[in-house]
Amino acid sequence: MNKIKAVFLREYLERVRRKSFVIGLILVPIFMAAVTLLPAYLATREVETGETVLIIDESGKYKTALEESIQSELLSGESRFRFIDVDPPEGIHVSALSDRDILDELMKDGELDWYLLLPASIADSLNAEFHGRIVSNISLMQMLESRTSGVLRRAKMSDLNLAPDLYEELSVWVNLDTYRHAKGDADQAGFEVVFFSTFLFVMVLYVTILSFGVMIQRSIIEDKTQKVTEVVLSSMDAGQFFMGKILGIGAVGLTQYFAWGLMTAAVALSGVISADKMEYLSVISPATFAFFILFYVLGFFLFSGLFASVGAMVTNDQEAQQFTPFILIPILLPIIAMTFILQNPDSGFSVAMSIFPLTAPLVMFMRVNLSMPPFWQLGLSIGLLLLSIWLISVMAGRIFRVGILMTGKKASLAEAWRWVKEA
Amino acid sequence: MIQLEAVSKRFGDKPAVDDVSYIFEPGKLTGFLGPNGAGKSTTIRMVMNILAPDEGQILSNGKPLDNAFRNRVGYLAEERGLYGDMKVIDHLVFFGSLKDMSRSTARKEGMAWLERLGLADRAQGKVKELSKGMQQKIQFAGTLLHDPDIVLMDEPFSGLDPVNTEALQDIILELREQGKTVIFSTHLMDQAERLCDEIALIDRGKLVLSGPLGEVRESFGRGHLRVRFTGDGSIIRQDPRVARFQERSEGEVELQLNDETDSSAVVRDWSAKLDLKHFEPVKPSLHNIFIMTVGREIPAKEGVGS
Repeated sequence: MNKIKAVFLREYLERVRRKSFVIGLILVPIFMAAVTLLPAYLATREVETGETVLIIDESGKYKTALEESIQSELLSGESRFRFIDVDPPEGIHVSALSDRDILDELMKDGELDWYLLLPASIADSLNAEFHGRIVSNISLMQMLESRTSGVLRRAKMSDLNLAPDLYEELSVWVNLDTYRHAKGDADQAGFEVVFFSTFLFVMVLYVTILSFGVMIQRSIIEDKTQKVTEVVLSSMDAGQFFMGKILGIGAVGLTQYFAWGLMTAAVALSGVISADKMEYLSVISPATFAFFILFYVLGFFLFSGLFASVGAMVTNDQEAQQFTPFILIPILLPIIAMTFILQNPDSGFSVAMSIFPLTAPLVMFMRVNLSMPPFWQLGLSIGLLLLSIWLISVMAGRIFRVGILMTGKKASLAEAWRWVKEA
Repeated sequence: MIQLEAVSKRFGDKPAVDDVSYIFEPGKLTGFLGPNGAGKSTTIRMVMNILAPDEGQILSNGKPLDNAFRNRVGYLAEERGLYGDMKVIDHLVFFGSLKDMSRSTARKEGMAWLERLGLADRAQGKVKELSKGMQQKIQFAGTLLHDPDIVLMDEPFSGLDPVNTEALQDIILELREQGKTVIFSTHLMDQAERLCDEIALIDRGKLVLSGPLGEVRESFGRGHLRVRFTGDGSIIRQDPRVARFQERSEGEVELQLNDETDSSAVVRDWSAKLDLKHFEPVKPSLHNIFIMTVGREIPAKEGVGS
């Protein structure tokens, strides 16, 4: 026991004391925050520069109303759109291609940002054209579509001699509030909140299982190249050494999670995050966190055994890359299937993947977070995981015992299998 | 006392160690000799319980090798390495705690050894900042830190400069004075000759020669001759009374006669056919014993001169 502790402490302390560990501890949350919050912030941010635009209305019925409808103020207080008129003097007839060339010239010279063409037939065809240098501004497109539709709707109402007040009266929109039912209690949880928190946790689970698995593999290869193993193995057996190593590196992962947990709690309590953003944190119930740790531990032990076996079989990182794809596929599969599983957590496919041991850690965690699966499924999944961990540890231990002393060449899969059988 | 009883080990079909029996005794310095690939390291690994023998058994004071045995052994592997990123003193604490020492005791003993080896000022530095020779001293300290009863060293002097070799030899001799069982493997015969009480020579997995160094040399000394001559040496080589033969240079050979052969009769026969210039009975060097037993030169290792 003391010897396992000695290896455990060495693996743990040497890693936790490294500068790179401390830097990662701080940088990863900043990076995660940037990745999740920045796009949302940028997308909702108001446009700061005005645009010069042109609305060409062949029927002449909608132009003024539409211009009024889309105009808004910039942060600076100026109008967002400057509408230009290229009407009679220049004699623009958009149906004639040669006249369009004039507009293209204007756009090329930067004097026009975009123009909207409402053809004479728009009331029937319900089609308009947007021409601009940039057509990827989704919020602008959505805004133009809805405002143009609105203007058309009002025009049609007045054509039908309906009272204008009716427009507001008929513009209704039904909002869905989502409630999640777990163990009979219903708690209000916004769809996006559940979706994104699950997504975030699964990604963290995936990245950490992968990175700590690889860390174990590299640590074993490093021991082989630094030739330290032989002296260590003269003092303890390979199984103890293996155990100490895996526990030590696994504990580094747990330390990281608890540190991040504390940082999140500190940020939440300090009130830096506004109340509506706190909603994201509120769904991270203690139960979610407990399941997260449970599946991290199970997934870590399962895959670390596989990564360790590869580490013991090879002599350098390049050789290890020949074997790692076999391990990566079952880790990646749940990520690829995640959108489907999030939408259909109780489908046969999702249930099967949450029980099959190699995909279970990630998929069962997703399902638990989305809607609590029946107890027998959860139990079967964890049971099979424990059984697989045991089998893989026995196998990995045997490969490790022989492989760790082989420094000259890499072993083939057939050889490794012989070590497993003969031990 | 470590007892090897008819120990064999195979890798695949290739026998690495073949039916070796030997007793390593306390208070004795045993040289474990043999060419590269003879089975030295495999035997040492079996004694260290890193490999299990296929046949036979290894006992320590009559008992199988257990955890308590591991704590009483100090092992300097031939494949030696250290974790470069660790602090020197932390590394020694790690070595000590692998032998069930408490961390504080290991730290104290580690400092004492660094003091003794003149590396106390490096205790807080990283291992990788040390020179090769210094790293080897750290390994030495790691091997002896827990005051083992049994010390096994695989090629302990390879790569060391003469000053450090001297210092480490003194430590090894001191261990013998303290009544510990000391075993070291080497391919440097003159070194073995100077230090060892006993030798065990292994070749192609078999123990071909063993016993107290004096007795071994004595037994080879009987009927061991150095002969200088001009003429056709094949007369000597092909003489059925010659058991072992080694050509030292043009016209000079060292040889050993069969037991019970009268050397003066042999010399008389040869001088009739050759111009025999010189002839004397000699006590053979360990180097010569090695070559005559193994039948070939020891391949010199890179960077190691003798």
